[in-house]
Amino acid sequence: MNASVVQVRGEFRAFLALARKGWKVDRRQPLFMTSGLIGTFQWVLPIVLATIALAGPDDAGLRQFVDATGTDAYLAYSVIGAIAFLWAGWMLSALSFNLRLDRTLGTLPTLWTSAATRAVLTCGGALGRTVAPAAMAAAAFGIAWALFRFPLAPNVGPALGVLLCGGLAMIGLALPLAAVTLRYREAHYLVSLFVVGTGILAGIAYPVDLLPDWAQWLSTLLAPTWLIQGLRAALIFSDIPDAMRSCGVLLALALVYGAAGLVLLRVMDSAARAKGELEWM
Amino acid sequence: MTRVGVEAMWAAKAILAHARAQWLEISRFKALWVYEAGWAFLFFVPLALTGMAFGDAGFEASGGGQSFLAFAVTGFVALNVATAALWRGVVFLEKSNQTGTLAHLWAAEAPRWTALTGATVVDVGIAALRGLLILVIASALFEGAAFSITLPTVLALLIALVAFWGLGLALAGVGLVARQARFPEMLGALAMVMAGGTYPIAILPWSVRWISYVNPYTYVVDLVRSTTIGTPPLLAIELEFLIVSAIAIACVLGGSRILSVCERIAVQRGLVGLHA
Repeated sequence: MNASVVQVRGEFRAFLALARKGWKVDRRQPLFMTSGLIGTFQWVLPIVLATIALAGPDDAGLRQFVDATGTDAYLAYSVIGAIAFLWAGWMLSALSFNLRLDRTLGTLPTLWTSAATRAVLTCGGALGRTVAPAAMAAAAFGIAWALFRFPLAPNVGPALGVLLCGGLAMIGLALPLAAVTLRYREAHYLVSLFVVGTGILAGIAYPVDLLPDWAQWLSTLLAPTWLIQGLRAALIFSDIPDAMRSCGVLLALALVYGAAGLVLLRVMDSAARAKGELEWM
Repeated sequence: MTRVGVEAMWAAKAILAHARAQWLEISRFKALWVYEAGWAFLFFVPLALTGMAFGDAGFEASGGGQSFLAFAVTGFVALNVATAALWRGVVFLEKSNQTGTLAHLWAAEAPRWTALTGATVVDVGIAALRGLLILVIASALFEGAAFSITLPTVLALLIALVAFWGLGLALAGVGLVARQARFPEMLGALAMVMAGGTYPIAILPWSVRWISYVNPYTYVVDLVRSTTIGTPPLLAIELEFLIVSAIAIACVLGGSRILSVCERIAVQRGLVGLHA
């Protein structure tokens, strides 16, 4: 076996070990899953109930919505938008802030002395922490469907494809954010704003067409927009080519952001070490 | 000066000292202020866009009034301030325990509730400023969504602050005994959702609407909303003031008692200064 194969296997093992650790840290919290699920509903229910109130008892508000979105399935539209963005936001936050958590706990310098690559160290533990949010988002979607019984197109395969590509795109997008958070102590505030901003530009419970032109253009550069669009294309509009197009864009964004993120991570890591910022509480 | 007067003065000084420490802890992060201002703006953009996608006709038919945005913004501002009063004490104790300063705090002569009050004052002030900023931005950007901060609005918010601060004492006590206690968090989330922050509770079926009627948040939101934008209240305004005042008294008395019991248990079990 040549050296590079051994190295890749070692990186993969390190990645799995870190992911397992991230998952175990989350899992041990009492009532973690239950509170997470309720937290999900704290975000999703106000949006869904607001759309029910906006539609009105005699669907008086629905005509305008149909004109704007091309569908009258407003519950499916808002539930998919809200839960998909929540999942995307969780992914971005977990990946971006994991190194900060390690630094606050004082474990970052030890982690950084490991032989594994920085990319693996940055993503491994964080991805373990995204397992529970993914499960909670899926459970919340199931419960929302059981409660509101909104119609869905049975395109499970394309929807799963969009989710997979979306997950990869979130990892790509999170790498530059993690790099900035590693270098700058206060960056997590701005990263939080950025994550919320991506949701607004993605069209949580409204079509992106309502945004100003510049914001529409900006939204096309962000992964959550294509994630939500792809899921709606698969599960509401049954537009499989549109869902596949979303998958393609998400993969392209994963590559572009991921490559930029790795370069930025190297630069920021070097600057953080030069400034002695790997260790403070 | 009488003994009570001297103690009250020392308690006030202790509150101010804790508030100052809290302020210094928070205000040194400049990005936090960008975050607060940005968040105030980002908050109502999705609400406004959702309202634009549907229009206000359906919302009016649902009994929410003529402007969805005004309805949702005032609901959020009320929930935001009340929640800051509720959770700050819990977060303060948890963080002090993690950073190892709680044991020193506990050894001080000042009453323990002064530390919780000092920490809460700053957060409530920031939440109130953020709420005001949201109202100003909403008024400036969206014509027809004008908000009037009246004396009854301020009074309603003050009573709500006392009520949720009292409830926060109880939650802080529970958090001291049970690390990472999630149950209060879950109850808080449920209460916020069921308070009708972004929807009129009349759209809920009776099987769940009763939760809204026994939820203290509901009356706070309703009072603030009806005194700010003039939506019809759930009950007569005077009755709602009475209900919220009664809740405030019960919360402060009950919360103090629970904090005192939990504090004793925490000291007996050696949970103060656990650093975790």
